[in-house]
Amino acid sequence: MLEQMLNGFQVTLQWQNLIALFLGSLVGYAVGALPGLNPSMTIALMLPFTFTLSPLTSLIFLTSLYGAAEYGGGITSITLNVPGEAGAAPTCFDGYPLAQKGQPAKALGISIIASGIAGLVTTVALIVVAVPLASVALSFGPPEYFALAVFGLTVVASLAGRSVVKGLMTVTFGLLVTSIGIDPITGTPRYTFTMQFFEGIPFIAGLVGLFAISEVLMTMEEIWEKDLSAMKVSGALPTLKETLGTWGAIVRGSIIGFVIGLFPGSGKAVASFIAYNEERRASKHPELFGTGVLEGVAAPEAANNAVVSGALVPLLTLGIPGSAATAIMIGALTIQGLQPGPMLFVKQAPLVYGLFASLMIGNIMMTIIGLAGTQLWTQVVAVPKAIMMPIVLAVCLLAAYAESGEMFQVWVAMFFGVLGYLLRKFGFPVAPIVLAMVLGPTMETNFRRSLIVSDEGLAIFFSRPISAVVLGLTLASLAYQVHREVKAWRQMAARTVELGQEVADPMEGRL
Amino acid sequence: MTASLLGTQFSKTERERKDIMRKRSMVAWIVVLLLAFGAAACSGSPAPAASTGSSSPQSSQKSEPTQAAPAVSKGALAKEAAGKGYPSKPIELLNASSAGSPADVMARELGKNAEKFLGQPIVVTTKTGGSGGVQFAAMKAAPADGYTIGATTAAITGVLNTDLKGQFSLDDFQFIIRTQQDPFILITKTGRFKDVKEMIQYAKDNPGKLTIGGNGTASGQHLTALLFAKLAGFTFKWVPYDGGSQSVTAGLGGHVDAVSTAPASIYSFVEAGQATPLVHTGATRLPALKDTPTFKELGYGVTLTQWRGIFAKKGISKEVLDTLHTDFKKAMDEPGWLEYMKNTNQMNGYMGPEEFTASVQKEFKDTTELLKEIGLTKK
Repeated sequence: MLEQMLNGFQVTLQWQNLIALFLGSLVGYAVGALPGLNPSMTIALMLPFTFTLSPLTSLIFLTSLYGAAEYGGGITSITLNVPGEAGAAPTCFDGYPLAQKGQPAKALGISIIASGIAGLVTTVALIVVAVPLASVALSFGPPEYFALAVFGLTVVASLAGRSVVKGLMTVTFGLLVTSIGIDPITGTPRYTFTMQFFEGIPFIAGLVGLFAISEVLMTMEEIWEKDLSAMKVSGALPTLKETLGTWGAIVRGSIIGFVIGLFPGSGKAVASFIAYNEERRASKHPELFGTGVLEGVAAPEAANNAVVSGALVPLLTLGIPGSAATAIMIGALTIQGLQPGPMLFVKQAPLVYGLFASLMIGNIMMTIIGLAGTQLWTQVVAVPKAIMMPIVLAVCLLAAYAESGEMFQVWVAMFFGVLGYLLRKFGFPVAPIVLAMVLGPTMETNFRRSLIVSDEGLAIFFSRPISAVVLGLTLASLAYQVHREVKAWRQMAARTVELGQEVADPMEGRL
Repeated sequence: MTASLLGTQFSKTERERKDIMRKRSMVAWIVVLLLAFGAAACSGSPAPAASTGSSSPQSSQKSEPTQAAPAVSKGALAKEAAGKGYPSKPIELLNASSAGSPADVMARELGKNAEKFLGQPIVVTTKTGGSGGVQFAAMKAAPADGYTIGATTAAITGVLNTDLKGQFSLDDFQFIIRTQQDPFILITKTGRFKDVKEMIQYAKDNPGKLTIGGNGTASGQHLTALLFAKLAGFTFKWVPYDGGSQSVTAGLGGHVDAVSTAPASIYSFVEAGQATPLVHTGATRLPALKDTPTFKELGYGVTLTQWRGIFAKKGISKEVLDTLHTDFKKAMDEPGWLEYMKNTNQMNGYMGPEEFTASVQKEFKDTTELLKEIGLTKK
């Protein structure tokens, strides 16, 4: 294998492959940073240009684009609270507050370092375990995907903020939103008053509406109240000590991302949500999450880059796409006359190892491009809000429009923007809605598929070991969360008694 | 930098400063509104930069530079005679199955090979979900100008009899060209069933236990399984997936007992020994799967095929229909297309618009009867 790896590096270091690598990273970086242009859309758009290239060069171009786009998605999360794509949504939670404290470069720096390290480490993992892990992707059937989605929903505890009840209310609302559209099993239209709802509520429109447009509206209100014209912004990157302080987050994020990436039907966006949640749980100061802690940026960013390597395992070993972007890459391979599938490793070893080598070099290249761009993006945060916010709104509406080329989606984005604004005004967290929109479809179709397959009704979820374990973890995670809440409440109550103060019921809005 | 620049202007009283701020943000908001209206105004042309018709992507320029040149003059004449200048901008091809599926690859290959004849790129957009209804909806919503076309498969005759009955009909669409025909194939994870007889026996011994997975509900894959069960006298449970590749994955993992799919999506797994082909619906044995029997050999006198082709919204002009048909037909003679057909073991299924329409209509009627017998039709 070592020899093959060396050959891989040799092939990758050819000039045309290095150019493909650089261009792929650059395009991906730009695409990721532009909301509305997602990696799969771009790969599809770029596909015709790759036909004339050799298979390896085109594969290198597409994978470096895919990886860099996953990183780029976090940039606007941090600077503008506009997630470039679903996987970057959790980066908003701490990245944006940190930028608003005048430290955007720290957030951006940590996000690129976490992405780069995660990408590099998981590439090594990919090379070492791809073949032995090949069949793991197949072990997940409908009950397992359902269980994974349910586990993903427990992330709501981290996203709920001060009130768990309000978090549960919004997550339920989000799940209801995903029930709009044509029924995935029977094909019956559900709540589809108009043709445009056939595909369900457009995800990007909902995402930018809830996160970004609501933020624009909130800021608009603040502009009237206080002076937001000038903001002191520091271009200081994270110090070595700060960077080392997030190593745990990067490791955990990488593992979570890689593992979730292995399962082709799980939906990669959930990886960064789970990574954020686990990081908050592992943290000694969970109450600071959401105010701008570096670990809160590092974990989801590491996870969404680790997913790329994870998703390449079923792609290369079995020819099974783990995401929309990898599905299109399969198409690219087929068109090149290569048969993606179990024989790829055997028949096309030089190609596969060349790709591995390019992933390693590509991650380093992406980190350099990313760090170089940090100072530029920092300036975006320094622009006065009265000028920046309307531009953000325009970007959001354009993102919603670009996805489908229909004005309808712009109205959907506006609707979710106003909804998000009202929810936030009344103390309801909006992130659980996005979480539900990510997980809802996976959860529903796999629940129903499980019941079709099952001879024992609902028992199928507990009679199968993997799904039983994942559901068990879900229960444990919930129990732990409740335990923690109760403990926090007791401490607060004790402190109140000590001080002898009249304080409002600390449980209010908590449980 | 920007902040200090503004700061010097805002040095008067608090009140004045607020006033200026308000004015500034008002201006910015107006800009946003204008942008929004601008977006609305150009919603008809998704890629204005490409609408000049000056060139097609590099691939076609390289191979046939002379083809790109007439496109310029064609584009200029477009306004004079409606339809004559077609196509003057990229054509969007909507596909109802997931990216990487055989229909998707077919669409991309056909598009790639037809680009130099059409002088415009063909952009394949994936519109999955709702057993194809999402794609139909998108096609119906677009104008009948030939800039939104779709890939269609045998699945259309099934869904229009069931889920989407009453919402869409064959008359909503104009069938342009049929490109391929593939048998449907039933596969199983290696080791699950030795051959098709064993599967039938299992299904008969354990009524209602056999699960067969495949793309969508009332799709060609589903109908094949239904027809097979009816003829062989067994029962099964259908598990719909979003696209062929997902269902094959489920089959390889043993989450469904068998998968009804296209041969193109399983060759590599058969070669690797992970999947066992059981039976297919073609008229004769497949060259790449010599040991797999056909329905006919088992005594079921049917030959179902999964055909694929291109269709558009009803109402496209004669010129547009002719242009698309002629150029796609030319594309089917291109070396690139032939190589792809060979690589993926597919059979040529060419039919022109009239023949294609008639064949779809006949199949639709047959399907109606089959579904009526089984009780799957709506209303």
